[in-house]
Amino acid sequence: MTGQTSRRVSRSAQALLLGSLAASLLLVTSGCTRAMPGAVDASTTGVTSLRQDFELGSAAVASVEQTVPEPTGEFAQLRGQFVLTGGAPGTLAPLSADKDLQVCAADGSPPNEALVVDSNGGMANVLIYADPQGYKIPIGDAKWEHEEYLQAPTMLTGLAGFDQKNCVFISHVFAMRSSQTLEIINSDTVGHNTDLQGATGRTARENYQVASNSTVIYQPKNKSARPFKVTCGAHSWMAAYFHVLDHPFFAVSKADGSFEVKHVPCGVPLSFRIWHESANKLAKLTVDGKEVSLSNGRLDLAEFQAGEERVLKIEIDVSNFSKLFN
Amino acid sequence: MMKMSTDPRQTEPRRRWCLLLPLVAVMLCSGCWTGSTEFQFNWVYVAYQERAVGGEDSSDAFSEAQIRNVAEILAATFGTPDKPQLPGGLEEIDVRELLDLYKLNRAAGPVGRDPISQDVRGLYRQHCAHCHGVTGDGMGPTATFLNPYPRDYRRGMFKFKLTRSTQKPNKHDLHRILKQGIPGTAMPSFSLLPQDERDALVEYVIYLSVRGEVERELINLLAAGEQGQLLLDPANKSAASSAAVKEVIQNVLFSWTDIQQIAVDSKMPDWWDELAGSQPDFGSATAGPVLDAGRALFAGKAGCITCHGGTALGDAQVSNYDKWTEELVDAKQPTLERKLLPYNESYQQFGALPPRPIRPRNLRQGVYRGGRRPLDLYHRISQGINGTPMPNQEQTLTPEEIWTLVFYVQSLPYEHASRPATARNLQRRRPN
Repeated sequence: MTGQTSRRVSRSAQALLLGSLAASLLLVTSGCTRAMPGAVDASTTGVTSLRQDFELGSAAVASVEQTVPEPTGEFAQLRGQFVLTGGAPGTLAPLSADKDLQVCAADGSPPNEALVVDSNGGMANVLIYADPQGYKIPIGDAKWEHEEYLQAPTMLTGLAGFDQKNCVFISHVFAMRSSQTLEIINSDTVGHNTDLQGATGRTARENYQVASNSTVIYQPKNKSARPFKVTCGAHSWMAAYFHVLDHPFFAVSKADGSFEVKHVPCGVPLSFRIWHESANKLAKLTVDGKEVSLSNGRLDLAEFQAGEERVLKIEIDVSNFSKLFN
Repeated sequence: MMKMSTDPRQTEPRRRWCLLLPLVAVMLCSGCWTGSTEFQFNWVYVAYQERAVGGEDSSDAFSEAQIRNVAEILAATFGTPDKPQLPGGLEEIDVRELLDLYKLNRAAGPVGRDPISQDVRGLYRQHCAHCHGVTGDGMGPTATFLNPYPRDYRRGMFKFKLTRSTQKPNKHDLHRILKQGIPGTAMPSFSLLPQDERDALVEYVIYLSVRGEVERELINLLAAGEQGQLLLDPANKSAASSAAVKEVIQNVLFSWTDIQQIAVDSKMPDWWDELAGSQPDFGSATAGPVLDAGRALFAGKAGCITCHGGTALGDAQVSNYDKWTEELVDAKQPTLERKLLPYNESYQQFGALPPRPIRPRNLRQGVYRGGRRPLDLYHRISQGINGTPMPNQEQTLTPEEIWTLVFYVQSLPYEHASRPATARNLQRRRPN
């Protein structure tokens, strides 16, 4: 009897063991089959060569010194207009406000500003800024910067500030100099939570509580690596884009698509970067009727002559916004 | 019945067990054994950038050679999990002022001891990697079971610190987290480790964070550059491309050196010592006006109710995502299903964990992740919480108003959510 009992016990123990083993295997495998991204094989020779270049600076690299060209000290004006071509774009899905409706949706749902085009095709919210190839624009140099820039106020307040009204950022695309100080304004009767945590490069990252009808002061301190998104933590549909530049040669197109960059330095090769939040990599544009191919939005312009007033009509095809209308 | 006892199961149990072993081995190998220890590439961010590029060339926005180039640059500047290195040849910033290679080596490598010095090694893999991952990507084997998920260091954002607003933490901040853990999460206290081992881990966390942030910035650089062009082409060296890569590294290092410790205004309000000094007394008559002022700030100027809700249960804004997650979702979409579409279509296959909305803290529970000292609460309100919607109130509130809010928030766990106004008058005094 005792032998049989112990055998039965051992058999059930065995079954228990087997069962638990199977269960644990199932658990283990199900838990671990999560896809892992994996490493990338780096070739040892590549790594060694890169490390040497980096630490010592190879002869080939050292010989190519970056030289900054010398402008003539005179200035020209750059004006123009951005126009959307290639037929009417589709309709954008409206944004939906789900909070503070008495303020945020007082005049219907908030506008979707991913692509804003007027009846003549003029494109608003296109950012154009100098981004020369091979050198950096010196800052505070009278040959590069017109007096007007050197003496410009460093504090952007009031209309020049960054305002929000009816839960919409008034300036959907905003650019400023890193040496400037910005007033972030809340003209609403509800609090906003202006979030600049996505700042790039060395630009100060901030996330401000801006109480109703009040302001806070933002100092970016350094230029950003590329445009970045600004959001509101309290109202998830609110979005704007910021760019902080160290030089003053930038503009954001107005409602009719027009833009103006004042006092462009003469006698130096300059290229401008054209940026729109919803565009794919811009590879083709039509400038004054001529098709121009460019690398990722970088448009090379001929050297400016003293006193020149250059007006460009820049046409962007609607196919560049394909990701909006999928 | 007796025949059953001659069953081979009874006579040769060992052999049957042996049959199971290979099966276990196969299953372990296929599912669980990750093999060699390498840094994982940030494929999720590559996929994110590919989506952002848009258009026809979105699927092959980055070539294999470009990705390998980025991995090689990272290996050349930061080394491997077994042998960390520091980027040299930087003109602006000396990385050795931030990171100590000796300490990094103690935290890096497999668990064990250094054969010569007998120093403990592999601290990171021993204590951290199972949650935070070898790469510091917050995707270790246990990560998927945790809520909140372990921190992904690669964004260079840390929540709980005493530095200004969204700046990087300093080493004291990270050390404090290691020592005390994070209440309400799976992060334990490592106070039983010797101080020098915690120091080594702090150093290694910063190293992983810098490496991960540089990796992201290099991918950004690729996205901004021309199709198919290598960042640093060994066959075609140029000063401009090498300067661009160095700038990326220096920008990240700069953010770790440009840290401003916030000196909390030591002048506490007159009532602080009496009401909140050694033993907070929320029921006393003098506390009443302070709590009323705190409640008014909570609902008014400070805007706390926007997210934490009128009852402070953390239930007013539950559809936001934090900075680590927001790249994985399409927040503009109206329904949850469409918000999660990019994750389901793409990021999931690269190991990203399912996105969860960030929950505002339930202030009725009395659990404060960043520490429960009044000083900690003061910092959370004054400087906000980096990487989350919790904002910086430095310019909105005066120090006295922040202390008032601290006192009010401290009182919330002891107040009935359903009848907040009367609960205080019921004089919940301590028995003696």
